[in-house]
Formats: sequence, structure tokens, C-alpha cells
Amino acid sequence: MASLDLLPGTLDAMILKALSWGTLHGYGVARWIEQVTEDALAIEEGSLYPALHRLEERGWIDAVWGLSDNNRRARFYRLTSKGRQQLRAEVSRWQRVAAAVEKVLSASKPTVAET
Amino acid sequence: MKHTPEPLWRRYLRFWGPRVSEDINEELQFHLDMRQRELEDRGVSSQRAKEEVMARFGSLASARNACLAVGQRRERDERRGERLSGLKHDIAYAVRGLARSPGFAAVVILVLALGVGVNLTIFGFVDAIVLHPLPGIRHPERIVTLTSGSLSYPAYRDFKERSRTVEVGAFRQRSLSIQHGSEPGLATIATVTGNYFRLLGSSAAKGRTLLPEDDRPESARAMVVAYSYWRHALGEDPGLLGKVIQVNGVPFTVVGIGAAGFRGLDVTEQPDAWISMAAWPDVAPSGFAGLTLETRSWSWMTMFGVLKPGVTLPQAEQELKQIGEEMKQSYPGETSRNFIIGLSPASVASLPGSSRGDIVRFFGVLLAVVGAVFLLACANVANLLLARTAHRRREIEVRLTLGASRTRIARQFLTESLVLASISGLVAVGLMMLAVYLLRGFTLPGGMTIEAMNIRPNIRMIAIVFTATFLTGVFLGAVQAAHAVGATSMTTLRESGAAAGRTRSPLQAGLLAAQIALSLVLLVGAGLFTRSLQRALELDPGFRTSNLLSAKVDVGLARYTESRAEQFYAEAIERINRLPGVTSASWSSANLLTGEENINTLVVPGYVPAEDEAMEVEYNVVSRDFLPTMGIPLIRGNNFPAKGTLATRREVVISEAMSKRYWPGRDAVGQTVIASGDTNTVIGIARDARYHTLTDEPIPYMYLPLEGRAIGLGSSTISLVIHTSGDPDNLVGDVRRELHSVGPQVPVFDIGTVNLTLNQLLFPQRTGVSLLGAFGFLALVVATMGVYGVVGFVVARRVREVGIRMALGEASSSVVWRMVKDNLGPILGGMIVGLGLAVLLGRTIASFLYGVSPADPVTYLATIGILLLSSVIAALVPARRASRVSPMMALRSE
Repeated sequence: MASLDLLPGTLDAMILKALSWGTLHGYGVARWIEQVTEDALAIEEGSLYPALHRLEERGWIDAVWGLSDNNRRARFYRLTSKGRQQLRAEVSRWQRVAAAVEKVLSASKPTVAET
Repeated sequence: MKHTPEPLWRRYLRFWGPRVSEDINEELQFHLDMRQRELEDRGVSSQRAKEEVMARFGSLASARNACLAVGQRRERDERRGERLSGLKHDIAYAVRGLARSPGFAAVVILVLALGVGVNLTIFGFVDAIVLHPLPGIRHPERIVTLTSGSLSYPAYRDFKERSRTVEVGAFRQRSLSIQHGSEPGLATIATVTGNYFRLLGSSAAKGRTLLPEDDRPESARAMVVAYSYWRHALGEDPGLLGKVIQVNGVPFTVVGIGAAGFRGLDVTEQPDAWISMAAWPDVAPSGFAGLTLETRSWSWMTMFGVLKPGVTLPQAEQELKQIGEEMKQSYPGETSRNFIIGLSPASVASLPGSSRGDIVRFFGVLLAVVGAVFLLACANVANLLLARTAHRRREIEVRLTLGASRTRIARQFLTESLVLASISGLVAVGLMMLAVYLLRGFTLPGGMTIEAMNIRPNIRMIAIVFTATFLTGVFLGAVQAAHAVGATSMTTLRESGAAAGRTRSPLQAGLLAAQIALSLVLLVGAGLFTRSLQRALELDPGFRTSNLLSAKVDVGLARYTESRAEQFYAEAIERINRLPGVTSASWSSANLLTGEENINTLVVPGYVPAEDEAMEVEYNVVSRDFLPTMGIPLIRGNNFPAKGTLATRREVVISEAMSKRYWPGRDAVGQTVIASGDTNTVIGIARDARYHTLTDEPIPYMYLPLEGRAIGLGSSTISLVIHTSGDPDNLVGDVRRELHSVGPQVPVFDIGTVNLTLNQLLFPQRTGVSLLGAFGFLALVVATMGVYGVVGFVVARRVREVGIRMALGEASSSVVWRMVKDNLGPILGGMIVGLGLAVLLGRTIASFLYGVSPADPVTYLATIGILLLSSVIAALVPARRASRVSPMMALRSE
């Protein structure tokens, strides 16, 4: 399976999206992304944690210590309302970028106006 | 997944600090363990799984460090936030505490605000006149003026051409006749060199300023009108530019309006308009006939300059002195012997020379006085706060016991005092603005009103308020904290209040003594000024001071000839004498008690002067009725005859002192005096009067008849004095109209009752009395309150002791005396210190006092008496109250 490299800036958006479904710990976020993308993206799992902490610092997510399913102490993350707004912004930005890139890449012939 | 409720994470956050790194390790480890387990569950071997986990995770160290960086940053922010919220908490606590005793808070705030407010007000004055006197000038620090006085135009030109260090300009301000309506008025016109506006860096509010091109004899006559004159005298005429305004009858075209606030280099006199130096010969009053710009012996201009870049004041001074020396040698006869060159920063030199010393000294004294008031306020408030702290000992002890740290409690006191001080600072700014408003009509020595100083809070004043309130707050907080936290031992909780803090602390005694000392100084000052004013008012000037109207005219500004002037004088007197309500009227070349003087050389045949005796005499050129108008009686001989003849020009009336000096034991009437070469016969002797100041010793003085002496050189200003039967103010309009109808071009100015002048003359006394009187009274009240407060505090702590003593049969009077006596120490100590200070400071105000020595025993004794009496009463009141409490009540009071 060939992994795709991650575009810069998209990790934050993916984390926010993962947390939009509910509270997750870091490993949970990693697993969710893995499952949704069917492991197509090459995410260095280690980079997930600084990203989580940065998002927490910005107030987009909250962190809570809790107990995991197997009764271990784990740090759970939750989207804040500020984070939800941010997610919406990221999604629409991504869609615009994707649409634009799509147009460019699928164009058949250059249409340059004569002067 | 179990989920812990919200409050828990807050608690974790609180402990975030020391655990940042552990938390990160735990979180990352959890991830690695979960992944490992997942892989193992799928059947991967433990060893393979471990490798796979690490491969997926990437660098553990870099992930950790990145998280740590974020964590540490958050921790720092967190702490800062905590500190801030701690401060907020302290402030809220302080405000609540003060709100619980609003009366106490109000007194403290008011006393402090008064202390800061009076300082701020006086600082505002000093700031406006001494420290920042050159509004509207771009680089005041680069501008210097020549301190030697005035210079001639050719001398100015020489300096301008030769100096390499200073760019030189010159100006002269003079009252000239100005006419833009039907009647001429008087205005201060500055005659300036072409580079004046450029050197001062001032631009025009409208139109343009004067340029070097305007300063040529052939140029059109251009004028820049001052902003204030445009606003107040010209009704903000929007179409002023291009209009014609006449100066001494010569038309000038207005080319611009000066920048708002710009007043040139003379702080005390705002010019109303600027014209070019080259226009001077056109407008020169008739008295200047024969003097041209080229007359080197005629020194009349003030020279100033801008230091060139990189040049220091001493360098420039050295160069200009050198040039001055060369000029003295080139033109020995024509250069004044007072030709001494010295430079000084324009901001200092711009105060008028004559009043500079007075103004500076006046404000020096005022600053010292308000400084003392400020210290007094601080000492008083500190004592009030200490008394309150004593009542709060229990509260403090409880908080200490409950685990509050001593620093924390000290910080609380500091916050409380700073809150008090800050509120006081705000109130003080309000008080200052109120004071400036109330004092707006006040005239300072030098003739400047407070309104004209345009005092507004500026950055320096805000800095003063901030510093004063901050220092006060810190001082008060520290005093309280030291007292409460340091002195309070754990004993308080155990002991009863009666034993704790039985007596006042040395700190309280010291503060009390300081209050007494400061108020003694202020009261002595107030007393000295009061006595001095009393003396001054008792002085007999030797002439009438009521029902007198005075006005000035200047026929020279109307460019009258001598015969036309003589006709004007005679006709005006005749018409004014006919006005109902006028008893008599006269012309006089020198108004008495105004500092105006004329001096002639004198030869008295038969009198041999001592070796160093200056044969000079002061004189006054007057018309016939001067002596009766002023109420100066003739002792011998006659007044001038009714009709002036050639003979009357050679007749003089002299003062008693002159007669005694030159003809001792003989009759001076009929004798001869030669004044300025003219031989005169003495026809009468008038009683001595005070000619310059109320404290003058009688001096030789001579009255010369006006006929034939119409215009003197330089100044042709002459005063009209009128004795009226009713209120002189009612005649102002009539007199003005009569003068205008006799000489439509002659400007009439300074019209008003003579009493005003006397009031101004007594300015230092009156100001001293009103200011120091007010401050002295304030000080007395504050100090009395201080004594009352401290004694009341001590007595309240000793109610039990009083009860025991009285139960044991001690007389209540003896108990009261004991209480009062215990407090006499600091009161007497304060008085001794205060006396020493007062004697030292008294010398500095000696020059403001009339007929009273700064060590006036009456003042000192009265002050000591008042202060002692009021402090003993202040101590008696609470002591007596305590002695009236029944012994049983006192014993049970704890």
C-alpha cells in the first residue's frame, strides 16, 4: 500500500474533524483517521500530539484526563465551540482549494484570451 | 470510556505546572501501549509489534519536545493570569474594605487629594511660566537670547554677519496705536527681523508669516496678526487676510494670522501683531525723531538666535563675546558701556528681566508651601491609617492564622493604599482644574493673568500626579504593613485588646510631631504675610488713593507735533474738568507707585555735594492741578499759576525732602535749581509722598510744569489723573469719549481706578496672605485632627486603665491630665523642629515682607499659642470623654 504524503495544514483540520464526532484520546484520533482514510495517508503518529497541544493552546479543543476503556489514565480531547467554528472555516477553505486544484488538473486545453 | 466531570480538569490545570513533563510522557506512553496491544491482538509478535509501533510513531523525542514547548508556554501564561487575578482580587478586597467605612475613606481621599491637588496646581503654574514658557516654537532648546539687554540694529547686523555658531534674529515689542475701526486702540506690536518666524519655527494659522522679503525698506508694509488678537479683538473675521490695519496711522496689509498659542519669545507679553523691522521708521512715534535703524548708539532690540547643529551654548557664547569685543573696539564711542554679551537658553531668559527673580522666588516659596502641605497630608493620612490598622489587628491575626502569608497581607495593605492614592490622584486633577478656574482672574507679578497661562493637564502634570500618588501609596502601604505585620505578634489573639497596643507606637508619635512641625511652619508663614499686609495697608502713601481715575494717552503714537500736543493736553483737561463728577484733573508724566520714573541731573547753587553723592533728582512733569488732584498738600509757597506763561516753565515745586536736603534750615522758596541745564526757581514745597513703593523713605522730588515739555524722548506716554466726587468707574466712558473727541488719533489705554494699581502693588502680600492663610488654616485643621485622632486612639486603648485608676479613687482631672501629658512629647518636639524650620525658611520670604522681620516675635508667639492651644484641646476632648466613662463600664469594656 503506497501512503500519500499529507498536505501541510491539513492535519489540524483532520484532528478537528475527528473530534467533531465526540471526545477522543490521542490514540483514538489516530485510529479514526486511519480507519476513515483506510490507512491511505502517511501520518507520523508522533506529530499528532504537538498538534493536539497546539490546538488546545488556541482554545479550539479542551483536554481532560479520564479513564480509557481498559481503565488506564488517558488524556481526552473535545472540540470547543471556537474549535467547531474553526472546523467549518477549514472545511470550506479546503473545499475551495480542492475545487480549484481539481479544475486546473482536469482542464483539457489552455484557454488563453487573444490580445 | 468513563468521563470525569468538568471541575476535575480545572484542578488538574491548576497543578499543570510541575507535572507538564510527566503528563506528556504518560500521554505518549498510552498511545504506544495501545498501538502495541492492537498489533499484538492481531497476532503480531511482541518484538515485531514494538518495531512497527516506533516506525509509525516517528521520533519520540521530537514529539515530546514539541509538546513540552507548548506546555511550558501555556504554563507561563497561566501564571501571569493567576498573578493578575490575584491583583484583581486584592483590589476588590481593598475596595470592599474601604466601602465598609465610607466616611474614613472619604476623609483620607480628600486629605490626600488636597495635598496632591495644591501641588499639581502650583506645578501647573510653574510649568506654564518657568518650565515651558515658549509655546508654538519648534526647538525651544536650541534657541538662545542675549542676556545683555538690548542692541542697536547695526550691532545686530554685525552679529548676524559674523557669527558662525548662531543664526541671529532680533525683535522689539512695543505698545503702539492700532486702528481697524473708528477709534485707535493700543496694541503690542512686535517689530521683527525677516528671519524671525523661520528661526522660531513658527508657521501661520492662515496666510503666511513675515519673510525676509518683507524686511526691506521698499517692500509693501505687511502684518501678521496674532491668533489671540484675531479671535478676541477682531471677532475671528474670516476675511481678514488682505485687509488694512493702521499702526500709528500707517497702513499695513494683513498677510497672515499667527499660529494659535504662538507668542514669540516674551512670555509675559503676548504680541498682538508682527511687522517687519524695515517698517519701523514709518511707524516710529514722534519721540523717536532723529533715531534711525542705522543709529548705532540706540540700543533697542532683543537679539536671539538658534544654535547651529552641533554647537553648544558655551561655544556660541564665547564666539559672540569675541565679536562683541571687536565691535567695542571698532565703535568705541557708539557702543553702550553696558555692552556685555552673555547667552542664555531662551526659555529662561524670556521671563522679563525685572520680574524674573520675583516670579521664580514667588513660585519657589509656593512650591515649598505646597510641598509642606503635601507632607502634612501624608503624615496625617498615615496616622489615620495606623489607627485603623490597630483596629484591624484581629482581622489580620485571623488571616495569618488561617495561613495567609505575611507578604500576602503586606501586599494587601499596599494594594489598599494604592487604591486610596489613585482615587485621590483623580480627585486631585479635578481639584486642580477647579483651582485654575477659580483663580483665572489672578494677576501675577509681571502682569500675567492665570487665565493667559492656559493651564491644562499635560504629560508632565500627569507624571507628577502618577509619581505623587504612587509614592504616597507605597509609603502608606509600607507604614501600615510594617506596623501590622511586623509589630503584631501572635500574642494579640491571646491577649485582650486592652493590653495590645496600649500606647501609640514611636511611628505614630513621629508622624504626629511631623504634622505639628509642618503646620507650625505654614502658620508662621501665614502670620508673617498677614502682619506684613497689615503694615502695608497702614502705610500712608502721602497722596489720595480713592476716587481717582487714571488713563494713559500717547500723542507720539498719533505722530503729533509739539504744538499740536500742547493744544491737545490743554483742551482735554478743560473738557474733562467740565464733566459732572470731576473735581479736578491733571496730566502727569509718571504715575505714582507704578515704578515709572524720570531722572534729571541736578546742580544746586550753594550746595556742595559729598564726594560720592549723585547729583540727580527724580521729577514728574505735571499740569497745574496735579497736587490738588492727588491730594498732596503744599507746605510752603505756591502752586503753579493758573495760566502758563514763559515764566512758569522756569518754576518748580519741590518735595519736603528735597528742601531739607539741599537747603537745610533755610527757606527753599525762591532758591534756584539747575536741572538738566535749565535754571528753575522754586515756588513751592509739597509734602513728601511715596513715589515708587509704599515703603520708600522720602526722597528729593521735583514737579515741573507741563507747558513746553510736551514730548520726551522715546516715550511720549503720559497719564491723566482725575479726582472724582463719585465712583470713578462711572466716568470711564465719558473720559474716553472726551479724549477721543479732542484727539481722534490718540490712543487711550490703561483706563481705570487707581486703587487697582495699589492692589497690584500689594500683590505679594495679598497673595501671600490669601494662599498661606488658606494653607495655614488647612494645616491647623489637619494637624488638630491628627492630634485628636492619635490621642483618641491611645485613650480608647486605655479605657480599662482609666477605669481602674478611677475605681481606685484617682480624680478624673488627674486622669485627664495624664492622658494629655503623655502626648505632649511629640507635640512639643514637633514645635521645636517646626520653629527651626520656620526660622530657616523665613529668610527666603524676607523680600516679600513689608515692615515685618521674618523673625517677628509676635507672629511666632501667636502661632505657638494657637497651635499649642488647639492641640491641647484636641487631646483634651477624647481624654475627658474617657474619664467620664464609669469605672464599671470601663472594666467590662473588653
